Amino acid sequence: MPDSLEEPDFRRLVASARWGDDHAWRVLVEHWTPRLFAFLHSRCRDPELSEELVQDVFVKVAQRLADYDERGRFSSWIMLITINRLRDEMRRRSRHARPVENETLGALAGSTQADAEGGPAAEESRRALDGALRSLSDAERELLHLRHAVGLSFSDISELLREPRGTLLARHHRVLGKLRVVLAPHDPKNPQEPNGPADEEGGRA
Amino acid sequence: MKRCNQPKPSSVSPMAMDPHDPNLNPNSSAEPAGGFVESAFGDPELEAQLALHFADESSASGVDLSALASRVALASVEELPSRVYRSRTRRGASLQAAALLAFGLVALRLLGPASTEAPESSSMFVAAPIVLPETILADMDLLTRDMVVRERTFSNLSGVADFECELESLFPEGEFQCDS
Repeated sequence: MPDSLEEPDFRRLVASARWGDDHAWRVLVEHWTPRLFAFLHSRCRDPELSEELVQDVFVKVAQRLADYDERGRFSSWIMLITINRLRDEMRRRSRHARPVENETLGALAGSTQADAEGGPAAEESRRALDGALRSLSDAERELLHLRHAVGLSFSDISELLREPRGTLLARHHRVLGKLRVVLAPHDPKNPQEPNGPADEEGGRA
Repeated sequence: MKRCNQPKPSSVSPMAMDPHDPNLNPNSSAEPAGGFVESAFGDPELEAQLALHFADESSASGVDLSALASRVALASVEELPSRVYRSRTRRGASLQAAALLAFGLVALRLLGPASTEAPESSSMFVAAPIVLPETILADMDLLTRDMVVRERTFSNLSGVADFECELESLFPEGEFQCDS
């Protein structure tokens, strides 16, 4: 899977895909599928819905490829379609939607994979990060998801959210600060005594 | 895993820490126009932890992303503009062909050689020149023109510049705008 594609690559691939180049389209899909899935899954916490939405997004992108304005960033464009599709779906399923905060976080934090890959300390760390993320506002989480789940640059996010890049950098800085504060008691190397409700001594060294 | 309480400006760009970043080119992100240096706003360690955390969540979902990408590519490729154009023209062309064939058969049936003119003992069909009435000719002409207009519309949608020239060579009597 190509991991090092940049904006010029996207433009070139889009131009080829417009003219029916299947390979170019496949490269785009393979590059963006894990990113879109990670974003959607982090937002809705529903793997099946995330899969369905990824497929919908690509169908929509393919249908609108002729309208794509190459002056804009492809990353922002495809993420805008993704976010709009997710919002539409959430509105449609509002009565059945699964809120990010309340579902499956505990299950994910306690997954066997976490145990296998990092042991109790890593699991404790993940659990703490989950809790810290839950303490953020939705807009703050969205910024982190766009930046760290999808891997968008701040320029992409700026174009996508139509906010100045400096504002986003400052907000991101503040959000990281909040996370550090929440995570501090869980840091094994931090001498401070744990005082958070999620603190569990069992996982500490 | 060491983490500090105080924001720690780092000399390492967060972009470089993120393996998923589509804009890894340091020239495009580290010192962008606008004067902000991203590394001054970041915390590489925490950001790497976040990226890993989201990646773990994604893989913990149990979804095979490669298989998903294959399915998605297969399902969406037919929606690409060029494919839509091709399928529409294919569909349009087959409809036109069917219509022309129907007209031809009707014309043969109505105006073909009378059965009394052919010797009954002969099983061979003798073709005779067919003179179609003006109304049928007009209909067929209309149909052809309609087909040309549709082709032109689709070609414009797909941006085929020299389609007018192709049409002009096919239909010299038509009023096409061939620049070459």
